[in-house]
Amino acid sequence: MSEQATVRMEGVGKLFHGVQAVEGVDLEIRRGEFFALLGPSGCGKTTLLRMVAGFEMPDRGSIRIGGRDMTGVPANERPVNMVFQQYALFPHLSVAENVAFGLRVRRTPEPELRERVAEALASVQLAGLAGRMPAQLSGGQQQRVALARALVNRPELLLLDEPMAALDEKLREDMRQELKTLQHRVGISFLYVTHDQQEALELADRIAVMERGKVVQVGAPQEIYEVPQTAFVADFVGVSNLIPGKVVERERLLVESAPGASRRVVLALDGFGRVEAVSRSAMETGARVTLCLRPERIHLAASPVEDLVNRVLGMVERALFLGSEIHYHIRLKSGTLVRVHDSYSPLQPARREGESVYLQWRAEDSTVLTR
Amino acid sequence: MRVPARVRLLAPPLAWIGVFYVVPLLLILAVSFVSRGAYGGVSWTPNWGNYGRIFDSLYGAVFFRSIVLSTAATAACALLAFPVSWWMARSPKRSQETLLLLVLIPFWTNILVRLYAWMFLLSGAGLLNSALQALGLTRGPVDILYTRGAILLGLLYGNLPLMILPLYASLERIDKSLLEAARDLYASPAQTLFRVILPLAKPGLAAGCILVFTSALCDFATPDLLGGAKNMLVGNLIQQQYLVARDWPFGSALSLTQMLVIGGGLLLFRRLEKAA
Ligand SMILES: Nc1ncnc2c1ncn2[C@@H]1O[C@H](COP(=O)(O)OP(=O)(O)OP(=O)(O)O)[C@@H](O)[C@H]1O
Ligand SMILES: [Mg+2]
Repeated sequence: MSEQATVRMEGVGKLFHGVQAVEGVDLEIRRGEFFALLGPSGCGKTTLLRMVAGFEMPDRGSIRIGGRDMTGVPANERPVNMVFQQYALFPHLSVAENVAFGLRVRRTPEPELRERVAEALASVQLAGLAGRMPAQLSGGQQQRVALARALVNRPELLLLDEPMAALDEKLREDMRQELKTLQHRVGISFLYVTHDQQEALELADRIAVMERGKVVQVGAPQEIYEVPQTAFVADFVGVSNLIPGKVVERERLLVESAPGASRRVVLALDGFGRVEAVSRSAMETGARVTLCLRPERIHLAASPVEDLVNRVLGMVERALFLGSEIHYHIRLKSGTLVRVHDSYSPLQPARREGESVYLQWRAEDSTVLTR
Repeated sequence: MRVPARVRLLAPPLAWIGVFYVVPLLLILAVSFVSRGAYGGVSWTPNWGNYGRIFDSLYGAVFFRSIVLSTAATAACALLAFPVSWWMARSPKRSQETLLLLVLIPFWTNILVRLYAWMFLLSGAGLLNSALQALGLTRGPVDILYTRGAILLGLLYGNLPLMILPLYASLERIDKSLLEAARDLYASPAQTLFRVILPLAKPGLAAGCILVFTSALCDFATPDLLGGAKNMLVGNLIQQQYLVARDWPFGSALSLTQMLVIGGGLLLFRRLEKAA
């Protein structure tokens, strides 16, 4: 059963003393893919990762790694390696011996072992620190050792549980770049757990968003961001204006081609009035929906612009200058608060607080959510 | 003149050690080189013969037996304490305090009382023998009390907490993620034990061995009560010289020799520990 999938999970569930930590998860991680598990604290990311590693056994479902069913296979016999959140380096062993641990256990001949350890240390830029003890390393260096210790074994899958959580912001950015480069070079599938949506969007080829033990959406970063399937995803990934309302009118199919078929609908949104949007699924008039409108998709102008069909007047309540961007809080007459992100340019003066502006966007700039 | 802060801070402990440790030690050293008084006590005439007497085969055998028994007791304590400490260290945090308390409770009772309890258990008409006979395992009573085995058992029993406590302390500090990391890197449970747990437990194990060995070698109540007159250990010998034979100079020589043995034992142990 040779296949493209490194990992295949089917109906995986785990119950901890009455807490359903993971429920009915079906996932497939492809060969060489950087796959992120994203979700808020307590949603079951670590539990799912630990079931793949073999530290927890699922109560339901099955996990296959490289085509092999892992039910009953102990952690030390699985072709995966893990980078632990606090790195879990062996304090009694030097950097080189930490990295050599897995090879020694598997009785790799000494010359090959030394060569592979040196290679692994070089790949994480630690060649000079082979003789140090873990206690003599900075957080960033410890993380590199943990990476080298796992990668030196050439696993089919590398598991990473919030590996950046213990690093400071600046280092985190550098490490993200390095991690991505490293993953491309070694070509090993990565399963990366994080609660930081920025990190997931930046690093992953595909993301699975988890909510209370379940996977609610799987897709490429752009897809997750542009076409969130639930209000939870829209809210958790990036910033969005989520506006409740209902369908008042639905029109003919815009595009006939089956899967991406989209329809123009007219919604009545609380606090906004009538708004045109595009929907990918058929909807009944009168159905309750939520419109997801990303802050950067809204165009601000002092006067109406012709081809932007949706238009609503508001007043700038706050303007936050963030260097390349300005974030506005805009209060509509109805009292609803809308967030708008505008790029900053010295040529175009920022809106001042108290100023009246038109918020405008096209029908295709928003996403209609039914859940 | 100003006294440096370091000296001022160190003065009280130094005075303490001087008065209560160095001075008595020097006294013992001095006494070990003089003669015994006619009616006990010390007569201050030089005498170099006290140390020579130790090499008398009789006393030499006592030293040898003491070292063997103390070493055996240390090893037995380590073997028994390891699984117990491991289990304690991996128990839920709430029960750990209770378990520690249970380990310490025997210390609240006087050692003599506890040894009498053992005598009662081990004697010819004791519980153990009655049980053995009742089960038909033995015909008549077996000699258990007043054997070296009984001493070993007593030393093991009495010193076990001294091994458990430091061992528990170092095992308890081993993070669970280290064990998982070892498993993740293909180590079986046994390999995890030898490659991760034991090396990390070494400081506690070493401290426990030093404590038990020292305590066992100096013990005189256990060999006296459980070993009887035939199985004298160094501790008994010293006690006897001071309190029964009233030969303080020889007792002092024995004490200092015992200290040397312990010191030598520790050095040897350090060597082994480094090599391991
Ligand atoms: N060993 C355990 N015993 C009991 N409950 C557990 C155990 N491990 C996890 N849980 C519970 O399962 C749920 C999911 O936990 P998990 O650690 O997988 O979340 P997470 O997504 O990794 O969160 P975080 O981002 O905070 O690390 C939580 O409600 C947690 O309390
Ligand atoms: Mg977690």
